[in-house]
Amino acid sequence: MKQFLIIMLALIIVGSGLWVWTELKNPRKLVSRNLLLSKILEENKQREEFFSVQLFFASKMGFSLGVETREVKGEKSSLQQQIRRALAELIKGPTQADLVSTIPVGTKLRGFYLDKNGIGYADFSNEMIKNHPGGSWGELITIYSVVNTVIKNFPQVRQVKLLINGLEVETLRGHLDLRRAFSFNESLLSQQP
Amino acid sequence: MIFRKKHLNFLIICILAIPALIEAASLSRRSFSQDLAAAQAAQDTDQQQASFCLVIDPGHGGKDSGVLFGATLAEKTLTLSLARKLQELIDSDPELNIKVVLTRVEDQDLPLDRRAAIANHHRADLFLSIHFGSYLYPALDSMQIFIADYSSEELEYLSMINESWSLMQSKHLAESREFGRYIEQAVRASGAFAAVNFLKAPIYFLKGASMAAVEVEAGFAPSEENINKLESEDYQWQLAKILLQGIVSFLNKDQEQSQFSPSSEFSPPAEIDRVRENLYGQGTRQEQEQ
Repeated sequence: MKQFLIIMLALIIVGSGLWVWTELKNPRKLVSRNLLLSKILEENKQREEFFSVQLFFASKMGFSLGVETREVKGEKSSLQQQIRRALAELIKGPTQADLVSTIPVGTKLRGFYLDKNGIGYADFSNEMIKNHPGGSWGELITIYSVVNTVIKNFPQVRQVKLLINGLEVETLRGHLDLRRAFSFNESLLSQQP
Repeated sequence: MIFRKKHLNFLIICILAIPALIEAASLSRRSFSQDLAAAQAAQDTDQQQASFCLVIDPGHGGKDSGVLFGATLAEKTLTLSLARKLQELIDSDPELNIKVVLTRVEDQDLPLDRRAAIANHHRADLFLSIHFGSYLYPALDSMQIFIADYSSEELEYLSMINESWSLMQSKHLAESREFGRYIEQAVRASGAFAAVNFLKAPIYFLKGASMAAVEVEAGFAPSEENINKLESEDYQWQLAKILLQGIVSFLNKDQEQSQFSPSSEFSPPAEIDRVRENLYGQGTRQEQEQ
């Protein structure tokens, strides 16, 4: 009985090995496998594609926000991931000589969340407050550089609310009310008359 | 009864004393009348001083230094110094008929809501918050004039949750815009700033104010030259005069509309009454808390 079982097990192993070898040698199956592989590679390639964003920085020349367009690597499949990448570029600061950074040194984006009402929550680290120079104008330009960058590039976001360390705060440095969400600001795009 | 010489002397003294007593009584009456008139005049003056009430808010204070110009000059010091000068200018001219209250008179902490609460408590007609900014860019001497701003969603939400405090300023935006325009005109006419901007923004400390409310922020590049200028008493007096010009122009506008003349008997313009009705119909937060 024991010998019979050993023979049966050996036959199963040899049979399975022969079936796998036959499958691998089949040219039709090989093409199909290669197609699948190239499809996966193509998808990965698409995910690595760049998308264009308009980043809003402070203008050195006047009291307004200036735009710098930048190609950003990002995943097409995730809106929130794209927004995070766009804001990471905003934090890096401008490359154009006529623009100046609006986000305080050392600030990190902790996250970006979008609710079902189209309100985006941009969550920044505490450096956003700690290293901010203050002033109503300074706070205004910082807030709207974030808000305009998000809404201009991602119209699915209607309004943006700023959080610090995951929490709602009253102001950055004692001026603008951060308890509300902000809409796109047209008036800061050109110099006041 | 024997009529003696000493009785005669007493009678003579009494007769002689009568005119003196009459004169003394007259003097006393006159003095009382004068005192009454003086008191009445003082009361009238007080009433006249209360014709318009301006609350000046020197920004920041205490632990909150505000913007720093260089290593030592803090915004909180500049705002208080300018506010005091503006108060002194107004107090030195009784004909202006403006009572001035400062939200802080020393270097002290003052929460943002408390600033508007002080203005509401004094039933102020105008609230002026003074700030300074240090701008690397644009490196221009500039004056930013801010009035409060609400989004439609915010108004809807605040009404829904009955947050009357933050809604206070929403009923006075037209007056605030007008007040801001007069300040803007005065700043432009002075030629003291290379740029003047009039902006709407959700300024936190203006939202609880139940009267025309404006924030001014004088912005300067943080250069050595500018720091010296800002510390100069002459320059601060100049800034105070510019702001006073804007305030007086705004109040004169009201006076013209209501045919009010400082020399005539004072009756508050209808618009001011309406403002007060709106404000105190709801009660201030302080009163609500009490």
